[in-house]
Amino acid sequence: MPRRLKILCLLLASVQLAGCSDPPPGVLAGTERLPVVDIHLHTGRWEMMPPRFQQRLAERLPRGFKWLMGPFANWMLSGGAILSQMDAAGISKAGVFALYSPHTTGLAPNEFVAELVATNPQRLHGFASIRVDQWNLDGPQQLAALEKALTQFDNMIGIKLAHAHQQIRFDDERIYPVYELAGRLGKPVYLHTATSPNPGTRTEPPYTDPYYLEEAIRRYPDTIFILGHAGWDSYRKKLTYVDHCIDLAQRYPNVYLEPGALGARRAAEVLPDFLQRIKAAGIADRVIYGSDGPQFPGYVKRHLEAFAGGMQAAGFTTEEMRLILSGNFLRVFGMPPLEL
Amino acid sequence: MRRQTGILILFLLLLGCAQDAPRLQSLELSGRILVPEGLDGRLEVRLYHAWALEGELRHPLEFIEAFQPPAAEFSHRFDYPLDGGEGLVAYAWLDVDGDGVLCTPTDRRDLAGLVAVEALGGGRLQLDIPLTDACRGPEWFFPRAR
Repeated sequence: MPRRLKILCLLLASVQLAGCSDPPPGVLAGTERLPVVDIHLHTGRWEMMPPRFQQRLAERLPRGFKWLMGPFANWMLSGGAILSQMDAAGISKAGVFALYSPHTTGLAPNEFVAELVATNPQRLHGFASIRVDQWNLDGPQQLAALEKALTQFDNMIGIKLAHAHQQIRFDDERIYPVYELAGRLGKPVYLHTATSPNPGTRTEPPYTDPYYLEEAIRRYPDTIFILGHAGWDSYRKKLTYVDHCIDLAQRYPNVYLEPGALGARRAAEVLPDFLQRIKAAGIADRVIYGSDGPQFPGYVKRHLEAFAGGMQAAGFTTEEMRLILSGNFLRVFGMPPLEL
Repeated sequence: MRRQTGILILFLLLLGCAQDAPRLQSLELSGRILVPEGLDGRLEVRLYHAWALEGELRHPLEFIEAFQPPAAEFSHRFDYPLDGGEGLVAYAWLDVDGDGVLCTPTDRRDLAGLVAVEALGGGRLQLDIPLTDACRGPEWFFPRAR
């Protein structure tokens, strides 16, 4: 092998190794490293996404290379790639969501998620979901399928709903039995609030404003409601419903907030304002960290860095950061403290 | 050999850029929104494919477009995307309280209704949309229980 080629290979190998060496787990707050749980990660398959969503993802690639997006997405959303992103970010545990959103982001069936989390049950935990788009025809069967997923699959710790993606109003009482089931089985419900930039997502208040959920929150006090994205209106890039989420968390002990995607670049301008509102409201014991990853390589790490850095800049104490980054999750889901 | 491979790659790349123009059918809708007596307000009609996609992704109510008829008796021309799905669903609601939103958690007066059309016919459709239920989205009405 020519000498120049050998040097180039060595250089590439060292860069590769440097890029692959994972940081110590957790986030540094003062002199202490705090463990991190990311409640909000996605999986799925390219072929289970509707064409419109596939087109949106493929916009990230230049013309002529868009056909690469399918294999790339399947790799990005695989268990191995998810764990790699968690390792690179120093994240100990994560929630992985099932999806039934055929209008918007597609399907990640409960069985698929159960198989994925079974590959590393110490670190990956599943959230089952339910199909609601043909409720008048098959509601009872869908509810039975959800109960089966929650009781028969190992490691399904909660329920994921996304009203705006699933095209159902927050005040539609037909799916209140889902909240009854959640309370009865002790499985918290994660609900996407506000909008999203994904095509086909409903943007009107009845599908996005968590105030429309208040009746359900009041009617099912044994059910934990985790308000996903904490009211971050990512379609309009505004904190449209954040104060409504905070208000609900202050008035109801069964309400929590999750800041998924607020650490993304898209939200960089609003993150300080968001964190100041959380700090001022004194609800650090009601926020459960999540990122909405994996999105693209490096996203999970970048999101955590932005969010943790934002908390430090906003003056959150080490104890408040510990609660948000893992403590609240572990308490709500009944898991023991994490050791780094 | 190298040249042939290069041409093949170029062809595949160009193929990746090709996009078919959407196939559209012009449709003329006319009809009435059946508003209960004594009620008034801004009307909105939302048009959907009854069903879209195939297999596990098959789903009802794929949105096409919305418009605001100035009166309960209306006519409206639009381009129906032939490849976007099947059938037509027309959903209407009446903004009784004038706030631009189909009900709030505390004001529950706005009325909605829906009608499904199975055959598109020759480009002209006559519809009557009865407003029957307060605070309901189209997903409440369609698909109907058997």
